[in-house]
Amino acid sequence: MQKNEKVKDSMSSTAKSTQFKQGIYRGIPIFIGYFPIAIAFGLLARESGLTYLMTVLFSVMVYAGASQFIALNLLQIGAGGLEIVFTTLLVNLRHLLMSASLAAKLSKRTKIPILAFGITDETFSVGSLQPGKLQPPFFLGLSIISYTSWVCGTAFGYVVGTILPPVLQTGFGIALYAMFIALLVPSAVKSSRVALIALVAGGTNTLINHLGFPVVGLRLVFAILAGTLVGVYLLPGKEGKQ
Amino acid sequence: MNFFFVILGMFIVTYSSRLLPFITLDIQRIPAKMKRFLEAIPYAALGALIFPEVFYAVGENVVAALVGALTAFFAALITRNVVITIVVSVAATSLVIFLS
Repeated sequence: MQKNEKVKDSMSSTAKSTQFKQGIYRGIPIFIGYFPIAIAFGLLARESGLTYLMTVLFSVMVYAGASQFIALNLLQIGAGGLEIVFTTLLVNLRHLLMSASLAAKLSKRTKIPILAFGITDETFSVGSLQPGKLQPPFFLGLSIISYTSWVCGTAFGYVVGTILPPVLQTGFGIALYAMFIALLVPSAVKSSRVALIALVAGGTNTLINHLGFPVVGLRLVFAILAGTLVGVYLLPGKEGKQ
Repeated sequence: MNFFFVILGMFIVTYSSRLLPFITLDIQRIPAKMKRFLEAIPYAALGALIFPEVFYAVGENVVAALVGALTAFFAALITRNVVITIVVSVAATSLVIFLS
């Protein structure tokens, strides 16, 4: 059985290298999007009094934009370590959903633990919208270029962040959202069900935000669940069996 | 060096949330309804990642963000290309920032 699966799933090394390069290529938008944010993080970390080593280590080990910024913020207002870690847990609960969804796109044999380290909002979005099964070399390439941008941007920002013109930084602020839009639009145009799922999730997120709900990550969890549940229970999908 | 332990704690909770479903979920045993749920997550996630944060992507300048988002929408509609969409959107946003 195991041997059979192995034969079925195995790719030639050229196919793997093609997949890996494809992943890197698809990750270029994430690289562009992460870099200015990482620069801002490096800069802010220095202003918060972190050493260079700690700042770089922060991005190397945690690799989660939102919670890293929140941690700096909490640090500045004098929060304790446990409080910061607990907030991180809440902010990153959405990864549970994304990780589960991504796992369903991989064949069982290829669930390599290190691949999970690369799951972010952005790599998840790009990876899960790839047609067909998700190939590990693809996701590895995608993750490596994204991770490189985040870590290098952090190191770079700590050193030279103040020199960069602010206009350049803010203009790039739209980059990741432009990517999300570019990923969503083709599917949403093709399927009204997809469009409705996204709109319900986006609408829920906007509404909760408007009501003053503070934790970004939890907001996302509720919004994603709302959109997904509408998609599964209220609308018959292409299977149309319900 | 105390902050290292905060980073370590954050690493543990972050990696756990990424790893646990990834290694524990057995796809062969997931019920059909659950599978549809998992397949819908990317679209819901994209919707929630875009709204409402896209309006504040350029700080205070909501107009620039709005122009950037609309530009991205039409660029995506026409080109279906992620890289072109980003380049055009960043250019439009920067232009509005520059003009305002």
